[in-house]
Amino acid sequence: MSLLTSLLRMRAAHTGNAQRASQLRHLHLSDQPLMLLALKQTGPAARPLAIMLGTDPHRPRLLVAPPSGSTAPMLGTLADAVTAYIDACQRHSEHLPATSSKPARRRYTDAPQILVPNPQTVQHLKDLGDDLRFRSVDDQNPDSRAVQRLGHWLTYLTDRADLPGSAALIPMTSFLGMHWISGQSPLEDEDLATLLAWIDPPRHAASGRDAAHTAEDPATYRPAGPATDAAFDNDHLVPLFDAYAHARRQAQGQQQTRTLQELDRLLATYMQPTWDLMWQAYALLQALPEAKGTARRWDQERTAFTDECNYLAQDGRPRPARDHAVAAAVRLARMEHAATAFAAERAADDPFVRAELRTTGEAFGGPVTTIDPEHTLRGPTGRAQWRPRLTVSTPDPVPMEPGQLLACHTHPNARYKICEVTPADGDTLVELEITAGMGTVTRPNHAVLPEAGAFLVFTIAPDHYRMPEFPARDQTPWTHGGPPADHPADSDEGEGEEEQ
Amino acid sequence: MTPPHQPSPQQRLDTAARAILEQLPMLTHRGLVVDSPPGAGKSTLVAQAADALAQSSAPCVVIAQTNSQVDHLVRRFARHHPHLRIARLTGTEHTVPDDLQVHPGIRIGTRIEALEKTADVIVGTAMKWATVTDRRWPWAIIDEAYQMRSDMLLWTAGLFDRALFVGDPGQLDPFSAVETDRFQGLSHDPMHSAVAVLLANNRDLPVHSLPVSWRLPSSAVPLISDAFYPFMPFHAGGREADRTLTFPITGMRTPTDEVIEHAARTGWALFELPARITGQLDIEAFQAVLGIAERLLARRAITTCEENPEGHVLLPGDIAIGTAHRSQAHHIRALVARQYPQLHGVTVDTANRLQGCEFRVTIVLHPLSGRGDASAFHLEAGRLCVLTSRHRHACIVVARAGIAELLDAHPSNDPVHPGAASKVADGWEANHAVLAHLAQHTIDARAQPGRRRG
Amino acid sequence: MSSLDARLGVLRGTAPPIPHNARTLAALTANPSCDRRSLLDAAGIDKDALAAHLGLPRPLRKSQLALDYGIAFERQITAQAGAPLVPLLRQALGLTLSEVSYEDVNSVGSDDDKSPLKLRRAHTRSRILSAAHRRSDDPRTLLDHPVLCLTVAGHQVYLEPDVIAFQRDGVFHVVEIKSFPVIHGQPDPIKANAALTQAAAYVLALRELLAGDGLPPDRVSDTVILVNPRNFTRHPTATPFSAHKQIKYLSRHLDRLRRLPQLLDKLPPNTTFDLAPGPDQRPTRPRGELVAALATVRPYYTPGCRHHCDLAFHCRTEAHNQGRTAALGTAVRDDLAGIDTIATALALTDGHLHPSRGQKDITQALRHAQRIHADLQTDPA
Repeated sequence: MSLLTSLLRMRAAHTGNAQRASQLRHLHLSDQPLMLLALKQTGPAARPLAIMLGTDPHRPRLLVAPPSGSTAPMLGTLADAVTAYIDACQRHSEHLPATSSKPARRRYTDAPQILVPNPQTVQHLKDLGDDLRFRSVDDQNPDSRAVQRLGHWLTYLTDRADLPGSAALIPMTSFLGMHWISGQSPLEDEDLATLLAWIDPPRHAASGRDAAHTAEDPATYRPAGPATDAAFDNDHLVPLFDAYAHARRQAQGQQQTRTLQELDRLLATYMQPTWDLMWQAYALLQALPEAKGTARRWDQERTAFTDECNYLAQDGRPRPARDHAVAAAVRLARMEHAATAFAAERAADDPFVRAELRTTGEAFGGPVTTIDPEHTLRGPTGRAQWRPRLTVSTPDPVPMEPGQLLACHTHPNARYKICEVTPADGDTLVELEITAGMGTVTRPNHAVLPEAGAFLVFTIAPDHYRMPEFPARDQTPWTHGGPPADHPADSDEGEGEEEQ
Repeated sequence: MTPPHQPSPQQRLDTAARAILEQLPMLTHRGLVVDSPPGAGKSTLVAQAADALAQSSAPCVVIAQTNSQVDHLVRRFARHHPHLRIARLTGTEHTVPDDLQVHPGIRIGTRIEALEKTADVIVGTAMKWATVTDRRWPWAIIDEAYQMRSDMLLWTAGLFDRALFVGDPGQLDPFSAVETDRFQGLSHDPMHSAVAVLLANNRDLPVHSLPVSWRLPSSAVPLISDAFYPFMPFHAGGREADRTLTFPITGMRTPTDEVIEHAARTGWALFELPARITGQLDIEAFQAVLGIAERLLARRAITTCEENPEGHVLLPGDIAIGTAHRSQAHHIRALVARQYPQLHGVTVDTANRLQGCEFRVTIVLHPLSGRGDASAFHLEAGRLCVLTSRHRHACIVVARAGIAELLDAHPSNDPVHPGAASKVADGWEANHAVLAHLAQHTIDARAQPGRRRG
Repeated sequence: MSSLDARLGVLRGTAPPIPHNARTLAALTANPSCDRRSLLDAAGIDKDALAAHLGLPRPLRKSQLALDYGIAFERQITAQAGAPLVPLLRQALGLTLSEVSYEDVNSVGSDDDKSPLKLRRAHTRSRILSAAHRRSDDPRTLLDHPVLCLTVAGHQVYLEPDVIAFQRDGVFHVVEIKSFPVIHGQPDPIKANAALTQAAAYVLALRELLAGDGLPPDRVSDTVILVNPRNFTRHPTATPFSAHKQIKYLSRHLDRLRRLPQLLDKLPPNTTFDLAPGPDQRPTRPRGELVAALATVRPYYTPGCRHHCDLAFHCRTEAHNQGRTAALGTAVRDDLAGIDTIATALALTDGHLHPSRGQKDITQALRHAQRIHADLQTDPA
């Protein structure tokens, strides 16, 4: 959150319409994303009530679990649908030549992308993955393997969702929030219906605010899940659930089927509005131009996906319920690295992000007033080092100290060190020394040297980051409990699905 | 920066520390933890222990958390343990201070190969040690182990058979900019401190604590001990009569003069500005902080303590100004540069950066001053603990009125996780305790001379 | 009846009071600055009925499915004289007794499913004290459906914990049965906090009971046991939590409830929240009157209120109508450093308003942000 977004939030509240934030899309958007809505049954931890999914806006597929009894058939169908989507991403692969650190290998040209309405749905899928990937596989029942595999994929996807900049599983409300700022609170923004009403109100609505207000009308409001609202439970689901339980007790097969059909219809109507909103949001996001770093991040996504496919083919044991010591540290390092890299790339690509940073004191911008391209200094060994200097005059506050390393959007690999910060009537003069990216005196890269008068924005450079060498799992040191017991296959022996 | 006081190590080494040193060579466990309250002689213990261990099994590896901590330790070794051959393992991006570069007893290198053969003690940051591979030494000492994230311990634990972990459990917890909830409840949570993970996985390791703070005056110890170290009480090493702060120049009976006089008498003062929500940038509060520093120097404050019984005239370097936010420290530094030339040399920094430092007098901008509500960041016990436990003589807190109400308005809906009570003080409770104590030391910034609230 | 009660009774009108319970006490700590909530709760006003009458969304309405699920889980745990509970607690608390005695206070002195609260309370009291003083040869190790009393703003409030466990070494533990799952050892941290805050009320009540008999507070442990479904099953698991913090918070906020008389003094005469139900039990009081009555008590609205207050949507509308920055969330409120309304903030930004002395810095920052944004629109460099 920056003062700029706070200001825009107030403008939105004041004008009644959402304000534009970033105009560049930083997450890859697939031509054929798998749209997925999930409802869970009120009560049990992760018992699905319904899933609506598909890649075609006009042909959503609805899977409904019975109110009681086994969810296995429904999960089997879900597993098939998701697996089919994932398999389709493995149709083509490309050859990657060997690099200094990696041998030559193949990489799939596509990767799955699942769009869900909100962060709560991500959490629900994570729970579902935790449940399903430990289900036992029964050779008599081909569904059981598919269901376990679905659990595996859900865990993979929800883990990816924890990684900043990943586009494997994206909550739509967060995605929209990168590009529009509504006039309601961030907590309310987690509701897809009202957020989208602010951003893209129906034509007849007087304003986004009015549309959001209408969207909240208890009579027509449909939450995007995974929780259903209490009124819907009490007024609609409870009678059907009771009827179903009754029919089941009496072994009235026909009555059971009829109740399930009615449940299908009820849930289809309940979920359809959210389904339409998802595609409306998709269209808005698709219209945005992609930022430069987006493609590179999607390449990484495809690499991760290819690696996971290889893991499944070669090992395939379910990921443990909780990370062991080395895995946890590796994951944290990856998350921090991804966050830093994503932030740096967005700042380099996107003027809006840079503007935000200028209001938080993490960046400053202004015209170059002087440049000393010949400047050299004596290094520790006494050799002369070429360090061109430039001065920037900025109206921004510069809460930085000399010595701070900076990056600039024009040459993302160059680095600039602050030599001096001098306040000068209203503006601030910042003297900078280029420390990297300009080449050497003998082989200079003159492109890095700006012209006097050029308007540049400097952001705090990301820390030079090197992933430490990880100890192997079986080398986990005594300080962390020593090597963990062998791959725990299952956390809940014999506790697969049960009647709930 | 160098702490202003360098008593001889023997002076600082109390019986508890001596007992630990004697135990060390015979230790049957793989590790030993020493908890140290502020100013309890932690660095002395580290140096002595490294000296002792180097005698039996050189080289002794010493791991600290920041470059400035490492430079500190190296300097201490060179000064008090001149017989030791010291090596400073450093990254290329850090410039080792000149005095260490020219010191004949210190070797500086960026690669372990250049140092390991000839050194008795090798000192480096955990980050740098994490790059060293395929080596193992009998002993390591890990300094500031509560500041070390446990993932960093994972990278370095392969370097040693046994280790002495020394640190202050009351300071700021390790931090990450990413969402780390998923690690909650793991005995090896990478976000926990090295000591927390070590003890969770090795429950039988002996844990000692140093029972005496040689830094804090006796006026400060009861509060700091109760509020921030409820599970590890300690007492003051200095006698009350030995620590004095006096002004040879008479004051002007302004609230600012009153506040420094009160602090001189009692060791504490709260300078209370009228209630107002200001956000991080509260120029009036910054000016108040600087005004207090200015009066301390203008009135030529004289301190006496065990090490300077004859008296020491307070210099800018003896004063620190502590803030919660970097932007606040930056602003105050900018004001010093432009408007307060006489304060040049006063340390102005955030709680994070003041960890482990010591000053004669500290002036603290209360983390909750001018806020509309409390947040986990501003409530963190470690933050207030660092800010209120750096001083040898007096601590003056500057704050907007209304903090008690702010604490009472704070909703208690923080997420909770299973397990026993944390050994770390709760920030809300600790803040209440400090505030209750300061209530008796409050000077109203607007008050007429001689009138005091509370 | 005290004059305080009488005054609160006037606010409530004819409806029977909704007494405080552990949940409403827990809500005290969720938004302690809200005078509106404090007052309505103290007067025992049915906030949900009020919200319904005002035609507002009812954020705390309970799903029957959730209730049924919770009840079924609790029944399962306390079935067969607490048989499923005993091994769990033995492990969580290190109970050493080979046999554990169990008593359901619900069935005391009555054939009904539930005895009157007073009776159950008396019975709970005698059992607890007898166990505490070890008067009985057969210490009651598990007490199901006990009833405790806690003094809240001078009133006795009945509280009904799920289970109280008594250990041989003389320490009582509060045990709460909750139907949210603990997955791989981790419960939802927000739900866990709510459960612990409720448990904190029971701990305080238990301590009050023991204190009345001269027993020290440490006879009731700060450690609370939550019994939840494990992972994706209905098998129970018991997890110990430290409720130290929740106990501290709650007791401090209970102390603060003494401010009630001052709050009442600030109300205009004849203020009432009485819905004035007609013969068909439908509220007859015009909505406008109730809205006006609510406006006389200061709220402290945050967007998070919807998670713990029935009236959240009313206060939100009010905050919107007044253009309050708080309606936009804590980040905006924080950034604006004390500027309460959006209109003021924008007027300062756009130069339509001259900043007061205290507003200079924030105004400068806002104008700076505005300039940067304007540049962005004209020259996306």
